[in-house]
Amino acid sequence: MSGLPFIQMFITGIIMGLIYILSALGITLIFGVMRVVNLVHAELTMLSAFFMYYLFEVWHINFFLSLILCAIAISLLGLFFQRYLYKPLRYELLNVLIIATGAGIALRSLGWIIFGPLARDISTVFPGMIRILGTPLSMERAAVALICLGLTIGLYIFLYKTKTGKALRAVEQDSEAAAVLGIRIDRVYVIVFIVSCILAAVAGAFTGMLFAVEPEMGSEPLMKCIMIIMIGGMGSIPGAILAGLLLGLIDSFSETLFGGEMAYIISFALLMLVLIIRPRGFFGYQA
Amino acid sequence: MAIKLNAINFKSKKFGYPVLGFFLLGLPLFANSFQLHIMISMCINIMLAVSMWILSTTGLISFGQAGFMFIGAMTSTLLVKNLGWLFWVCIPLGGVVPALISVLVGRLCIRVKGVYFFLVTMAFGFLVNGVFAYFKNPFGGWYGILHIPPPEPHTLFTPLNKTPFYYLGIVLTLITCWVVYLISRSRLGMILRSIKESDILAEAIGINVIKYKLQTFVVAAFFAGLAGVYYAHYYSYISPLVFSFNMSFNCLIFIIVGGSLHFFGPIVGAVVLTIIPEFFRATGVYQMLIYGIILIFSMIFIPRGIMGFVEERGLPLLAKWEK
Repeated sequence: MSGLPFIQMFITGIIMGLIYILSALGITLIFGVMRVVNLVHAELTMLSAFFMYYLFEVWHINFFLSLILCAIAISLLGLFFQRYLYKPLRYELLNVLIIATGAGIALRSLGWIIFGPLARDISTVFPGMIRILGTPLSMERAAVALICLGLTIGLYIFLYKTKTGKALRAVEQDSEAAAVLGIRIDRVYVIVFIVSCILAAVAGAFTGMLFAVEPEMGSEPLMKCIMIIMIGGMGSIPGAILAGLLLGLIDSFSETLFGGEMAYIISFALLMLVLIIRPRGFFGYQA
Repeated sequence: MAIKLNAINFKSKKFGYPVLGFFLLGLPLFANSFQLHIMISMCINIMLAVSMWILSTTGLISFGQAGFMFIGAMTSTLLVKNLGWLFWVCIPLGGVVPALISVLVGRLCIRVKGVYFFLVTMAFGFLVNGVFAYFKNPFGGWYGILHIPPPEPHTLFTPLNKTPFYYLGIVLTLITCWVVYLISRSRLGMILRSIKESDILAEAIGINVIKYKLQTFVVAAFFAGLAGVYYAHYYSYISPLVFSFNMSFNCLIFIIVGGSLHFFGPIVGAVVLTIIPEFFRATGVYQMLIYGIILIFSMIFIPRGIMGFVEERGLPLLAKWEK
């Protein structure tokens, strides 16, 4: 095999991995702090893509302004879920799983009712092509990958360098001890939800730009996100990043070399192997 | 003081069971074919939910049930369709093969606990689908297998006549429920509940946790496979898209909405959540929206499930009425 397709596969894998990471980070943050799996995340990305479509494509608002508006809208929606659905259930894993599924089903069918099954496109804001090591790559993908990378680094700085981030990690490690030390748990939960929703909004907007905007667009990446979280370790940021890149690469390589079904088998076999050998993932802590 | 359903042994129970029995037996007399179809899919849901519930009494939720169901369905399909075996021979085989596979898988999966067990079994479910999708011969790939013959005798089990299928489904469901009920009431059931409370404590008093978990896992896989065989020969079509993760997940919804602490929980959940969406079928696109909203409200208002609600509110009333 020559070098060129290899580089192509490598770059595709990295970019796909970066986009997955963005959603996965949102879910893993909420899992780490609250111990619930926020399945509504998929629908939030879907809604964000639709908001983006209307703001940017239909009403021609500036791209970055509409991205910010999207993030605000999705955050409000996420806070609504947190306040009125998750909190009354006291964040019990199974009950929240069911209620999130219910909300997800409702939102998705609402999407079908309002937007119809027709897939839409968000036109690109980054036209043109660039070449990396002799491989052509659309500017759009490169820009999205860079923004994803930037956001991930930003999140890392937020979590490890700021006081709020440290409070957040303290709650993640032991919520009771954190409460004893004067950290207001409820406020931390709200902050986590906002951060997670912003990540969902950005991921939705970019997925909509790279692929298509349709009511089911969140469900497929959700599965990938859950796999990334599991492989990387639940609640772990470095784990999610590493696993996201790994999964993106494995997907891109095995899909090109062995075909779609084999990629599917390989990724899930890998997942099972990781979970059996090291249940808490690469970087997860002991539950 | 909460009253347990088992403690009630009054006329309601004596009266209720025969009425239910006659209703189930006589249903084909006055139900149309669509209603029978709903009953049949309800039977499948109940079998799957109950098989998942027995595992959940040990605190393990297996998202691989649809995978075992698929293995059972595939076993029977290949044997009946390609080798011409009798359906009645394949029914037990369709349970035994997933059970054998579950011994191997279980030995790996049981080692992990809690959320990680959900995830390992979920990965297993996807893996089964992936393998069946990859090998187009003989498994049919993503398109699955069409035209699976109905059970013998073919003069009785015709595609248009759903009554025999209905009775077969009722019998299989009753067998499943009966065995699972016996297990949950037996010493094994108590051991399983003690493992759920604290597996470290259970281990400390000399319970072989791994062994009992594995036994339950195998039982659950057996009945899931049984449900799969029935599914395959009733719908006469199976594919990886049918036995997807959603199917396992629906079972979890049945269990939680029905009430996970009680044996009747998964049954009630499966019955209610199979029937209720049918009422809204006429609303078309709004059906799933209503289903989602029902799930949300059921969790907000009865977080312990329907049976939990009945035990809290309904049974005291019943007891008062009977006095």
